This record gives sequence, C-alpha cells and structure tokens, in this order.
Amino acid sequence: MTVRKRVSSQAAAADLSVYAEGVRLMKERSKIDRMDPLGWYYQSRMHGNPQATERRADEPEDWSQCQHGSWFFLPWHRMYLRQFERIIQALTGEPEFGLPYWDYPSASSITIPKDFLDPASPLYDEDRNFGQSTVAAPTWQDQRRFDLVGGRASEVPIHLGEFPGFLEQNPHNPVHGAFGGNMGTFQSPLDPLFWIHHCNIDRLWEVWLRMPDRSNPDSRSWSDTTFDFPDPADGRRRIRVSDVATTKAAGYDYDELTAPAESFRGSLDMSRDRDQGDVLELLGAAKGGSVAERHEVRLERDAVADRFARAPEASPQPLFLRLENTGVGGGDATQMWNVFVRVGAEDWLLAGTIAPFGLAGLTERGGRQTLTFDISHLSSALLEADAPIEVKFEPARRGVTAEPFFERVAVYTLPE
Amino acid sequence: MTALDIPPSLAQARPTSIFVVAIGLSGTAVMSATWHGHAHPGGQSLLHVALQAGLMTAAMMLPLAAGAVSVIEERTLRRRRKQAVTEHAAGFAVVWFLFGASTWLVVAPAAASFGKATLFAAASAFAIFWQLSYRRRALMEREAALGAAAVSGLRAAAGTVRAAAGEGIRCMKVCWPSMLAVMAAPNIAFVGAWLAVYFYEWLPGPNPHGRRRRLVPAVGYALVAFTALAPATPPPS
Repeated sequence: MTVRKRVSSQAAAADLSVYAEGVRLMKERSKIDRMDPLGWYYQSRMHGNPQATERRADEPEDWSQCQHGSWFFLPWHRMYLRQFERIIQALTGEPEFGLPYWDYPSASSITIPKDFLDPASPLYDEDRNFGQSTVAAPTWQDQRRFDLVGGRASEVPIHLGEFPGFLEQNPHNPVHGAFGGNMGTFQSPLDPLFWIHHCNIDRLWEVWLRMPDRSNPDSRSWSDTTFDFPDPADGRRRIRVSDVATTKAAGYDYDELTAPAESFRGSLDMSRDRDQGDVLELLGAAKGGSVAERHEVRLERDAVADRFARAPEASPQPLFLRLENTGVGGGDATQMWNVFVRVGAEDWLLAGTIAPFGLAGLTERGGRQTLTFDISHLSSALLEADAPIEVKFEPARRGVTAEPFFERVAVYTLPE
Repeated sequence: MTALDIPPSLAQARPTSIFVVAIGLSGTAVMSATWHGHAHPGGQSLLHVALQAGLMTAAMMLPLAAGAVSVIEERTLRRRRKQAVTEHAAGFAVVWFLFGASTWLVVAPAAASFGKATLFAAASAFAIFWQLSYRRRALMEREAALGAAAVSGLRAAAGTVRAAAGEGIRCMKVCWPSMLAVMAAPNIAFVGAWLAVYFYEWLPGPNPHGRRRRLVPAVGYALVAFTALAPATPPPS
C-alpha cells in the first residue's frame, strides 16, 4: 500500500525526487501536446481556469470540474490527487511512489520546502507571489458535523458552491492566499506546491475522521456520486465517492495521523453535533455591508431564551458567526481579511479569516458564499450580556485592496 | 443504492419541505383528473387559464422549491420558520404562475392558427434541443445564492418573498421550454414523460458531464414514449 510521508522528513526524500521527475515528465508531455490528459497543463485545467468560471462549451468535459463550497470538496480532491499519484507512478515507473504532504502548522507560519525554491527544479513556479500573512488558527478539529467540516450537502456536483466547510475555509484557502500567482487562482495545480498542499488537506480529513464521534455523510447522494478522471492504465476511470471515503478505501495511508488538540470546546457535551441532518439555530442577524465597516449583531433575546432554556448551566456554548452571501469585486486569493469579534468592552478576538479563493469569479457571475466562523469562546459574554457582538475586519497580508461584502451577518448555535 | 434515492434536501426530511412537496403532489392529482389537453383551439376563460396555470405551478414547480427549504429554515428564527417557508413557496410559485398564465394566453391562439399537433411537435422539438444544450446545462450548474432576509417584521417577509422570486426566475430560465411543451401537450402522459426526464436528471450519481450522457438516453426514452402515445392522443375538441 502506498504510504504518503511528510515532505520535510528524511523518509520522504526519495518520493520527493520521484515527484520532481514526474512533474518534469508531465510538463514535457504538455509541451508536445497541450491536450494530453496525462500532461501538466491538462491536469491543471481539470481543476479550473484562472477566473474560476464554468467550463466553456468548446473545452474538454474534464476541464473545470473541481468541487469547492460543498460536500464534494474533500472526495473530489482525494480522487484528483489519487489519479495524479497514479500518473506519476506510471510515468516514472515507481509504483511505490507516494505523494508527500506539506505539514505547515498554519497559513501564518509557512516554510516552503527548499526543493520548491530552486529555479532549476521542476518543482519551482516563478509565478508565486508569496507574502507572509497573519491569519486565524484553524478550528476544523473542534467540529463534529461533516457539513461544518467538509461542506454542506449539494444536490448535484457544483464547481464552486455556496457553503464551504471549515477545512476548506482554513487552512485550505489561506494557504492558497499566502502565495497568489497560480496558487491564488483555480488553475493552482500549475504550481507543484498545490499537490503537496492538497495532500495535507486530504490527510486532515482522515485525521478528523479518526477523532471521536466523527463520521462521513451517510447519504447516498454523497457516497454514490461519481466523477471521471483520466487514468494512465485504463484511459478513463469512473470513481465513486464511497471508493475514497477513507484512505483505506482509496488504497493508501499516511505516515502520521495524530489528531491535533481540540480547543476548549472538546470538553463540552457535543453529542448533538452529530445530528447532521438538522439545521443550525439562528439567534440573531443584522444587515451586512463591506469589510471596510464595523458591524453589530444583537441576539434576539427570546430566541436565546428559547434555545438555551433547557441547556445546562455550563458555558461556553457552541456559537457560529456567519457572513452570508459573501462576494468580492476582483482580486485573487491573496486578498485576505481577518475577522475580529468582541462583546462589550472585551478585547477583540481573531475569529477567522476570509480567504477569497475563486470568490471574485463566483461573484462576477452572480454567486455568493456563506462563510462560517466558530466564536464559541465568546458565548459566555454574549449569551449573558445584553450587548451586541461587534465585528470588524483587517487585512491579513500586505497589498490587500479588494473589499469583500456580504448580505447579512448572523449568529447561530447548534440545534437542540 | 436504489434507483429512487431522494435528494439530500428531502433526505433531511424537513417537515415543511414534505408539506411543500405534498402540495405539488396534490396539484398533480387534480391536474390529472381535470386534464383535457391544454392548447384548445379557441378562447378560454381567464378563470380556466388561471386554474390551469395554478395547477401546473403546484404540480410541477413547488417540488423544486423544496430544495431550498433547509436553507430558508436555517436562516430564520425558529418561531417564524413555517411562515418563512410559506412565503418562500409563494414567492417561487408566483413567478411560475405568471409565466404559466401569460404563456397560456399565447399557446391557445397559436394552436388555433398552426394546429395543435404542429404546435406540440415544434414545442417538443425545441424543448428536447434545449434540454441537451450546453447553455441549459451551464445555467443549471450555475452557482447562485439564495438571498438572506431580515430577521423579523415586514422586511423579513418581503425579503423572503423577493429571494424566492429570484430563485423562481433562475429556475424558469432553465425549464421554460419544457414547460411550454407541457402546456401544448394533448395528453397527460406527455406531462408524465417530462416529469420523468426531470426526475432522472436529478437522481444522485454521475458527475456533471456523466449526467449529461445519462440524459441522452432519457430523452430518447421520452421520444419513444411520445411516439407510442401519439395514436392515443384525443383529437382536438
């Protein structure tokens, strides 16, 4: 069984060499024929185009098929990576090759593996616009519902859906945003960093699954959906989501699957988190606007009383801040904004980061995304005080000019 | 996997979404019982037009509105969820009702001028062409967000209806040719065939381009059904 290793480890050195050789061979194939399905360019267009628009009628049906903003985000990318790995194995004649994963602690503390910084290496991409950013810490590990972690259910596959999960929002999007260039667009697979970045996201899905009380959706609408990919052995391969629902099912493993520590929410009775079919409970909302402004949300006291009437006295409680129908006029994923919240005279707390990966293209064609941030650490102050929650935004890296906007800012809790 | 796996919005079994679908099924039953072929040559009373448009909306369109119910409910305070879903259904339905009623007024005179069979054949051919077109597929897969309304008061109601109407317009852009064919259909079985095509299209399964490949045989089956049903079509009254 293929074992994927940490890119910075000594054990991954051989795989990294094979990876570089495989990328070189794929680039060569694209130079000869840009429409070669096993070539570097074709593979990148399977993910998308720089504007993140839909596939045009004159393009191959494989192109612009990546899934973001829905519950297909994790399985589609797992299939994509697995097929990519098979291509490298076939082209290099290294059947044991495992794609290395890039175990950055967060998007705020990224160290680029040195092999990717050498201009003579096939792993180098001159288009990078790396800028150190300061973003919020990920909170995916605290969530127990798949829809919160992996994205909301979508009736049909969708290129860029409305409800991304926590893993997609952070660290996935901010790492794209830290680089810009190709990595900041939907043609990001042109940068070899893309593949080791997504390999880590794939690993984190498996880490999450192995934590207590976590599970994938049990809906057949999820598990029976299939996607088609070029395959070095079979020409084409149709893969079912259930075929990749775990790394074991997909036929590979990771050398390291230690779960990160949960934040304080791990001590709460979160049994209701597992009821994935029930919708969240709205507690209050206010009209939205731009990230250039401050916003206030006052909770509906009767909604709070109704929801928490039978809740245990213990605090904190699960609370989520949502920026509903968020859009942005232009810019790429580097246009990141941090979201700060506070209640009363408390200090501002960094609740999350808006990293608009693909959002400008989505906005241009009328779509929007709803972004969710865990603000449970404010629950004691917010639920007990009769004060509104204040929300403000600050750029998360230099050179940010595009200002996202949203239709409504709302506070939710988990259903009873 | 059964062939009739239901979409996730319904699988979540929101009571209100079942309610909306139930209205649709009731509408289907009434429409089936009262169907006499829509495109009668000659005039129709406004009441009849309104009744038929209303039934078509309830039967064929309200079930489509059910998909958004879980989002509507989530974005609404618990105490006004039922009201919000009703507002959503109303906003969605009014778009289709207006489309149905206004088109009916055109279809009937057109049937009188060109002949019922000619009109139906032309409408069906165009609907099948549209069903398989890239343009329709792109519209269907286009990402669109449901508007978020105010929390309470009249602004909440108005916002919910407005968002639903927007959803209805997006839906109409995708489906209007087949609805036109349905309205020109001389036999209730043709309506059933189109419904079957829609249902088949939304079954879980292949990815977007695989879905399209699956749609081709579906439309083929529908064509066979149309051919088989043609002799049973009652003559124009």
